Amino acid sequence: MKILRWFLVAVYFGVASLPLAWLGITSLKDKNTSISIQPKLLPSPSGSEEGIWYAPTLAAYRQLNQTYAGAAQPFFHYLWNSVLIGLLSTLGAVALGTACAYGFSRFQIGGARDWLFFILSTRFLPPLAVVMPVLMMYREFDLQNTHLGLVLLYTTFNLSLAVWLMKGFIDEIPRAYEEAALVDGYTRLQVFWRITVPRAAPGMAVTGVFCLISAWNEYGFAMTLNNQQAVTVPVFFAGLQGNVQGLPWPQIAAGVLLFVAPMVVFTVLVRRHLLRGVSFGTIKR
Amino acid sequence: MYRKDWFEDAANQASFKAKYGRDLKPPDTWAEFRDLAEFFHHPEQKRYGCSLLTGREYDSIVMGFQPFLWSWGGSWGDPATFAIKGHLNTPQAAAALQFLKDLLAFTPPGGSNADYSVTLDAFSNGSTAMVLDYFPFYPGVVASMGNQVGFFVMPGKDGQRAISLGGQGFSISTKVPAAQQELAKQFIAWFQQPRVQEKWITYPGAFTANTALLKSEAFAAASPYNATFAASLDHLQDFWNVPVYNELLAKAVLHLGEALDGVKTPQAALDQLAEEHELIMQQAGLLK
Amino acid sequence: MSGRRDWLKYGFVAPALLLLIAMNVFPLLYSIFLSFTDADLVGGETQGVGSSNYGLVFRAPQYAAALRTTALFAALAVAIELVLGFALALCLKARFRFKSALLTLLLVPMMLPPAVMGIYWKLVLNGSYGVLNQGLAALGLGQPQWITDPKLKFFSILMLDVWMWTPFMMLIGLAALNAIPPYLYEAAAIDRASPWRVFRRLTLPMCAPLLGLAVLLRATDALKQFDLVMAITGPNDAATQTLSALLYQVMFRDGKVGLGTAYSYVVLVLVIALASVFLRYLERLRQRGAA
Repeated sequence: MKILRWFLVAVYFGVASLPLAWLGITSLKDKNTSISIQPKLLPSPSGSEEGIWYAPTLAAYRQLNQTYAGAAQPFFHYLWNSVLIGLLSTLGAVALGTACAYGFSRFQIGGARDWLFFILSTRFLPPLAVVMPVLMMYREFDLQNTHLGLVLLYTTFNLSLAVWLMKGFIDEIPRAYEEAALVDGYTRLQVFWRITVPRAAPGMAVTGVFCLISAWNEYGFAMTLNNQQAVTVPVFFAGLQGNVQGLPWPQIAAGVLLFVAPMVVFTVLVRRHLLRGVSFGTIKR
Repeated sequence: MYRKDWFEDAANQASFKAKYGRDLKPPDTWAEFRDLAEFFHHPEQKRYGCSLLTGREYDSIVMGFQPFLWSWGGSWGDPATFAIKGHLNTPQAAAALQFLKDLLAFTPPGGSNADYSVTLDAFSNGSTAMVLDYFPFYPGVVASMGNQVGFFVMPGKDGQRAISLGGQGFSISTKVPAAQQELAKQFIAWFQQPRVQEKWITYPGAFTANTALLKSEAFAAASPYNATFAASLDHLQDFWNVPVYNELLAKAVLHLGEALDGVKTPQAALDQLAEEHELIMQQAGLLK
Repeated sequence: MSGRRDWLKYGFVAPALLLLIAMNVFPLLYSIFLSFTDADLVGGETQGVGSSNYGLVFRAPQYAAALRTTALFAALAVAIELVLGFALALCLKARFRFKSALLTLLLVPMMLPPAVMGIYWKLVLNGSYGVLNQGLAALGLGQPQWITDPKLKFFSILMLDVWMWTPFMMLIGLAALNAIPPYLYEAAAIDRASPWRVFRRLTLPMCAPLLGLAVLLRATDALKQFDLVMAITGPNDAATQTLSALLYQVMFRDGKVGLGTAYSYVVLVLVIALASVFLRYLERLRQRGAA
């Protein structure tokens, strides 16, 4: 039984990581090798090009620094846009979401269940169903093609996730500490800031990671609202389709690997709290 | 474009002459194109005869089909009355679509749905003999393949030769504020000045419609494909350029795609497409 | 002092709620208005058209087709991801060395942008120079045309979605499994219950609420499917046109904003209805679990 289990895990792991390995392999090729009819599977240390071997090169990574034909800017410009928009919207979502979750958790608020359903329901909206009125609204306020526009939007749409995740975490924090502090004369705000937030920090980290991943990879809104300025990486890569020099497969592979690296790093940093984080407060300790 | 080195190979020339009774050279008619595609198609050696624009995203398949439609004497419709039936779904048009479908036998796997980048890659990876694509895509190929690549004008049939217009002409939207329209007009006036066009054509993949420049030595020498481009200009035609062109395009992609996938016969596809195009034209107030 | 208390508690929740209302409710109200016009993407004059847009929506065969495609996609994707993910979680429940390293690695597909991975998979799945078909050819197997064969396109996108999101289900399954108190398993062992019995009577019911929530989240995401379809087949492909793709085609390609917002409204109403039904079901599950 145990062997069967490990066999299944090994098979899944192999199949699941093959595309990732292929990303790495492709990123070390030059353009013509990446579309070669003859399969080119393994980078050869000696630089031979026989059979399934190919000569690896870091050219794709270096070329990310240059502007590809027909694109407006090099990859790193779009990466910066993604970083700015991703980080700001995550901070916003986590901050507002934690405060909101605290409010619903600790206080009696009229219609709380309905509010919470409203918050969750915003997550159900397909971006494409909401984008048109948002686009019209943004045109009025000149928020199209700006960083601020997407930051506002991403904060909003990550709020539902943030509130639900943080409510689960905050519900688990015993009120006793807060009650004691209130009795001691601390104000509610001080209690929130000095007692609750530090204890909720692991939850905020996990929430932050999920919100960041969601904003980082978002495409629907970014493509329709920000397609000329403040363009993010997914829109940039998707926009390369139809490019007159063809698709630069090695550069795309290299760019994707660089793009996902920060997400992996953050996930590694919060890995200990991940399982608690995804319980959405349904599991009491 | 075509693989010049394959066409100039002596062994190929000998066996082509033996099999088809004429010299191995770039095609002038569609029948010649088909023979050449068949000759070069050796899938077991991963060599393919041709790659055509048949992609389903946006407009590849429409651009790919148009030259056939026009060469066979069909058209998208009457430009004056916007009538479509009797122009798009004639037996000749169906024959054109069938011819395109038959050519798919000489394309790489997946050739029934090949967009611009797939077609380009099929040529760039050295596996395909001929490719029908737009000129702006060629600078990169010339840079990487040099003397291996040559260019030919789109073939014709029975003296009819028609080529899909690529890129977009300048057009000014009447729905934007007048001030913006004025700025657009000023830009066009500036851009089409000869001195600006002379600088423009020095960039790779930049073309001109200035007839004087087209005939000049400078233009022909600027790249291996410019001469072919200049020769193509007299035969350009376009899809509908009415405001509802996008809907027309979308429907065309769907029906042409189904014909190429074998879901329906070319005649049935064109009949249904003509029906839907007329509906769109009626809704747009163009067809009475 | 209750006045001050009120100010404070609303102070915590108000910023978030205000932002949600401003960014969600106002646009939705405006789009109701738009759906009764013939508004165009580029601008220009718009006129009221009564409810003809809604009539068009309900008559359009493309809409019904998109509904079917989207529902089928969501159902299949979530079902496969649930079964596969939970099975994986069961296999990985035990503590072992490098567990968190392995878990993090398994989560990577989830962190990749679907819009870009879709494009990349066009290279991998290319019928002629894609590595998958090259591998199949080497093994002497056939050469399915993954992204050009109209019968296969849908399943290729499904395959990609499963690859990306099974780790999510696995993660939640692990969280649920970890929360089951060990003494319950010990009690079952004392009763000499068979592994299948343990699974059916103990493991599954205890994991159900959290798995149910995961299914809800994943299903609502799958119903929004847009990025993969855009990248692999474009928004105008009958075999893979999901609701979001249809919306994009109508609003941004055809430029018909009025009609598009009418479409959007019908979609929104459907989604909210589904979600509230499901949430109520979840509430009942949770109450039963707590009892």
